[in-house]
Parts: sequence; structure tokens; C-alpha cells
Amino acid sequence: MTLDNDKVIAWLDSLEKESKALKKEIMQLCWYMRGSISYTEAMELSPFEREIIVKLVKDNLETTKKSGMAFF
Amino acid sequence: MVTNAADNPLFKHFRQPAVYLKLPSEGQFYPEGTLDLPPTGTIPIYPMTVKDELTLKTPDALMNGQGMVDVIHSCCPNIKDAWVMPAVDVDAIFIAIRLASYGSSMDITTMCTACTESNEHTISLNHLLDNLKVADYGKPAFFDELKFKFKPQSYKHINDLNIITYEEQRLVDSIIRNESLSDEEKAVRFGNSFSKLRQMNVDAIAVCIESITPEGQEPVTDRKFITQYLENCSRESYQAIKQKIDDIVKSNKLEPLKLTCAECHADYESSLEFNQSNFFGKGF
Repeated sequence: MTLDNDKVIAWLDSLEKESKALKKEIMQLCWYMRGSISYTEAMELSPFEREIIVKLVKDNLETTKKSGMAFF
Repeated sequence: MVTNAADNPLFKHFRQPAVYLKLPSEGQFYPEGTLDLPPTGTIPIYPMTVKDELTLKTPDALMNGQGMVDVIHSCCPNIKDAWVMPAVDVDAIFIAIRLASYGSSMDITTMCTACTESNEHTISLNHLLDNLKVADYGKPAFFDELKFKFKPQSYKHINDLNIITYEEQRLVDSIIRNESLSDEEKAVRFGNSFSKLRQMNVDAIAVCIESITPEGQEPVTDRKFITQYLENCSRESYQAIKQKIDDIVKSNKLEPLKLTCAECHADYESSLEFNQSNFFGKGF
């Protein structure tokens, strides 16, 4: 509440960026889960649950790369 | 239509509580029906959802306080109306939500008071919660042959005060910067602004007084009468009451963190701020 105008604008910009990044992360998560998690369900996930799913997706991508299987 | 969550067949798939918190207020000061306190005396705290995190990144919701209230309702469903939550519980609830959402470690950056070097530290939120002090509102005080009983401000009062302070600060800044105003006009506007701030201070004290009891009479609890007394009592009485409330509020504050600078090895203290941008903005 005691920031000057420039700092307030920078703070608002950072909030907007963080907000967009979070939405993008959720969209990607839904995409990589191939529809097994809907956008609405993903919005209800806690940070730890998101972290677990992101790790799961990364592990699966690695496995796919190593096995040389086609990936879309 | 709003339905009871427990009636939903999907209820067992809902998120689970990550922390159980013993409220510093022990459930006191909540108006009837605004807190569902289980027999254990602890309330479940759920981690934030993505929706909650997005709420805390919405500037308007942060400015008017509604965002934080919505997140408290989502993460602490036993608190039915977070606006009336007493100030003594606010820090504990914020820490518990942060802990339930991102774990017990929290990275902070502080500036050494000796060499101004930035230092990175990791603090334990469990440790902070365990060491929260509880203010004693139960002990009455006597001034002016009157008995005073105190109570903490509600979250709504704190929020309103912050908004008014912010707006008044902006107003004062705009008066200072406005070169088209004469000195007389500036003086009048400053006078109005300071008058508002003075009234705000009186109101902030009045909301912390539960009752004033004159000797041998019934306690006075009507806010109008209490405010009127504060506006008309002696300067000494006003200062003594204000000091007493400040002392109680201070006794509820977190101790500043004792830190050592990695650069110059000087010991210094830094207080932990609970604003949404630094406290809830960073996760893993």
C-alpha cells in the first residue's frame, strides 16, 4: 500500500504475467493428460497435486523419448 | 442452488486438509454462526486450488480484500465469514494456508541493516506457527474511574483502515504535487485530510473497546457512545487507552526474525510481511 506509481504498475504487470503463466500451465497439463483431467478439475488441484502430475508427464515424456515411440 | 458438500457423492474425492490449526483466539470474538469450531478446538486447513491462486493474482480482489476473504473461505471452510474474523487469528491463518499449499519451508530475501546486502534465507513456517504469541484481551484496564474491556479488530476493520489510509495517502500526495493550488487551498485540503485521519484513529480505537463500565453502572457497549467518549475524554485518558491497545496488539505480533548477514556476518533483525504478493505469490 505504500508503493509509488511505477512500482504499483510493475506489480500489476507481474500479477498479470503470473496469472497467464498459471493458466497456460493448467492448459498444458490438461493437454498432456489427454483429457483424463478436465480444465474444471485441474482448477481444483492443489500445488502439490499439480507438481505430482507435472512430474508424471515429464517421466512419461522421457520414457517415450527413450523408447523411440512416436509422440504427439 | 447451494448444496451441502457432504451430500455430494463425489465428496470423498475432494481435496484433503493438509494442516489442523488451533486458532490463537480459541474461537472467541467470532459472532455466532461465523465459526464452526470442532470439539478438538482445531480447524482443518486445505491447500489452495489453482482458482484460489488466480484470485490472489487479481489486483481488484486484492485491493478491496474480497480476494483474501474468498481464499480463506475456500481453504478454511469452518470459517463461515472471514470478514468478522478477529485480527488475532489473521497471521496464523495466513501462515497455515501457505504451509498447507507449499510446505513448511519458505524462502525470503532480506536486506542487511549494516551493509545493505541482500540475503536469502529459508524459514520454517511450522516454527513460526508454534511460536505465535497470543494477546491477552481478557484483562480489563481502568482509566478515568472507568473499567475498559477490550477486543481485537475484525479483518473487515483492518481492511477498511488499509483502504482509507491508502486513499488518504494518495490524496495528500496529489495535494503536494498540485502546483495550481495556492498555499491557502493546500492548507484547507490538508486540514480536511488530517481531520479524516484523526477520525479514523478514533474509530480504530473504538472498535477495540468491547465495553466501558462506569463504577456501579451497567457496561456501555454501544459503539456510538464509546466513540463519543473517545472524542471528548481528556488527552491523558485517550493516550492511556491508545497505549494499552497498542501494547495488546504488539504482544500478538510475530517476533522479528534474527538473521546473520552472509556478506559482513553482522546480526540483524527483519520482520516478516504478510502481504499477498510476497507471502502467497511464490510456490516451489
